[in-house]
Amino acid sequence: MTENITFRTQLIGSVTDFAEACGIGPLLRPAILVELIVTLSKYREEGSKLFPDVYLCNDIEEALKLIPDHDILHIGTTGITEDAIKEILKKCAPLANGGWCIFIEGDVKKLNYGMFRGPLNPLAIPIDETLLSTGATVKVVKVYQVAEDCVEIRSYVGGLHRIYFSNQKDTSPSPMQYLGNLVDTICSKVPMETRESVANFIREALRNALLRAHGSLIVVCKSAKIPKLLSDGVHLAQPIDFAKQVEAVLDKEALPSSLSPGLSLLIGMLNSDGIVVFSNDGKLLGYNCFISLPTKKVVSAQGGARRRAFDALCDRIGKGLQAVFIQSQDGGTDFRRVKND
Amino acid sequence: MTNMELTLWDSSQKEILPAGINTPAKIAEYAKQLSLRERKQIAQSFEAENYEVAINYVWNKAMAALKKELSTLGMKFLGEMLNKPDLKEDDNVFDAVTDREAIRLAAELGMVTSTEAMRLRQAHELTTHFSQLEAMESDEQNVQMQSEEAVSILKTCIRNILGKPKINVATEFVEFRDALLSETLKSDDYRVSNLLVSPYFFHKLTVSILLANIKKNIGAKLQNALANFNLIIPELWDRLRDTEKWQIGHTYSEVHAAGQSIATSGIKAALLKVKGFDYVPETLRSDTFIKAAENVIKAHEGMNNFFNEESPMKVLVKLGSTIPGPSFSICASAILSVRLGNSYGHSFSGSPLADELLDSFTPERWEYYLNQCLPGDIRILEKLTSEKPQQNWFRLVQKYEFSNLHTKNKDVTHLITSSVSQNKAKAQTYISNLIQAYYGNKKKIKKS
Repeated sequence: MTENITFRTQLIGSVTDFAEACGIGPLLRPAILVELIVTLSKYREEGSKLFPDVYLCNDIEEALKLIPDHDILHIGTTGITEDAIKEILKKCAPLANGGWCIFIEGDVKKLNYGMFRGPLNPLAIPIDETLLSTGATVKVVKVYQVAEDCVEIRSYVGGLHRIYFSNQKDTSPSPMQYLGNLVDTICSKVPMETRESVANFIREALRNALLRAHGSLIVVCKSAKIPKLLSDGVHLAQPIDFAKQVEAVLDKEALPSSLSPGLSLLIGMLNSDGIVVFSNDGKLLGYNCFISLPTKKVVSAQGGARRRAFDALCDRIGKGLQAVFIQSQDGGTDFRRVKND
Repeated sequence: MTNMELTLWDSSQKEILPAGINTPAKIAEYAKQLSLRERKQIAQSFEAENYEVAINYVWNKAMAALKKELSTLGMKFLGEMLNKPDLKEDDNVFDAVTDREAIRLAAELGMVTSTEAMRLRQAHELTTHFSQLEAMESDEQNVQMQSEEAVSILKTCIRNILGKPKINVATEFVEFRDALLSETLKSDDYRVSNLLVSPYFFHKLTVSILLANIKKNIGAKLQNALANFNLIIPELWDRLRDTEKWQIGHTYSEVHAAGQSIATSGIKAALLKVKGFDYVPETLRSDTFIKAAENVIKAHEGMNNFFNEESPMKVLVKLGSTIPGPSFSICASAILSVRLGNSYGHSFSGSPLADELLDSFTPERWEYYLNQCLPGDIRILEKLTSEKPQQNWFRLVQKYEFSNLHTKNKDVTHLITSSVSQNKAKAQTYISNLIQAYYGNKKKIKKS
């Protein structure tokens, strides 16, 4: 006897309550939401992986009023069907680069779709922070791939579902769960006056970079000097001082665009092999660093080289290192830092 | 200060300079802030009929003393009052605050009476006028300051500034501002109730103080400012004019662009309550216009203004005639300042540029200015109390046919009608009414 096993039914059941709580009407029918989630989980176009952020709402113009310095590009209109999602993504996903996101606006009979972007200033508050915390005034839902085989759906009412298309346990932490802790540690010695802006900037930079990286290992040092155990690697003669760069932009001594080169370098470094090294005052000290694994003590019998390096680095927390962050290839993350920090 | 509206604190003028003292040497003796040597030199310059030299010296001394006294309140506070939120505590008051602004602050803070402020403004214009006369012009036309004019300026400077060992500031004013930052006010607090029934000046100033502190502060001061902002703005919103609503929207976009999450979410909460996101600029293009307009005003209110206005006006013209909504109010004020000039005339090189921009205003834009901006544009209203700017205003009213526009403010409508008929006395009455409505009634300063 042949039996087809799919998780479609279970997935529809799981997102029904979420969809109803959002109150966005026909646009957020569970079947449409599931179609979007599944399509985004492994979206490819011409062989390339794409990671578009998709926002569903009932009034895009009203939503964008909350975002200063935005731009919008209407692409088309289609009927409210499950096939519509494929049509929309086919036309829009390749455009979702450089800050452009996809919007799908639903009314009773049709879906309007297109692209929008937030402010060009890399320091600006992230779109999500603006659109997904509006109370009930503007109804917005975001669907996006948060890591390999993992899609998140977030709503303006605070609802959050994380759907794994892998063998992850129900209790798995969010791929981005520790990102906030990591950024807090990197910025812990940045002056109070600019800390919030610097943290926002680094958080968004890391979020974008980690999404595209095939796993990463990041350490935060207690000082501006890279410890000896990471001597094998590229130590920047002139560290990239994100805190200073942000301060210059805030003081209007530099243009916001002056932040972009450092950002590109950070993405490249996270895509390189080895460990990326920050100091706790917002400086990027080095990359492509390696640690010699202890020969006597087998730190961990399980995991690949990155996980074993992470375990070895954890042993050095408090001895020159303030924190260690890992994102494995499957999107799982872990983070350790000095206690009471 | 219970159960009463906030009112401007008026200086209780003690007699600094007794009546009947008329000789320069005797008057100079009352300049307590000057040394004996300085007083003597002033008297000698008067005797030698070097009036302009003497008055320039006295004026600079008076302005230096006034600005130094103002700076004790803190540069941030002065920035809030002048709507210059970028002023920092370590900025130099002599560079950051123009003479005209210092006189305005002195009047608003109760350091001088409104009548004396008017005299100081006239003294400023007269001093500036003679100091910027070309040497040739002065020699050929034998133009020089008259003895009576010089004595009058000397008296004004000594009576209001140099004759006082210390100029008293209305401390209540500073206390009210401090409360906005150090306490979370409740809706039933008498200070909030008083604010709501107070003149527009206080509404505008409260918005300015709160926004400046939301932008610059962190920690408890930021939290207090945001809590008070969310309490006060929904109550005030319907009474606020577009200029202040744009100011709020503009600040939202600024803190948003700077990544200041707490400030952004606080202002957002208030804007959501009042459905005020139409006042958030879609782009930050207006920033460029605001900066250009500020430079025009700085040149207009500084020394040698007739010559210096041309360059910043050219920059403003180059930005184009489509002035973004958020920056329209300050741009209109700057352009009109150049076009109306001061009591000594207007800039021959700056005025055609101002005309070029004013010609591009549509009737809707003029209506917007007359309804939303002019009643709070104290710079222009004060200008209209002088004869030459008033004459220029009458010409503008005719040229742009203001009488065909729909104005909502009764005094503005009457001002236009009396301007059309060139009735100076009536026009003066309605200008005074508008200034009175903006500042409200005066009350005596409380001295501790």
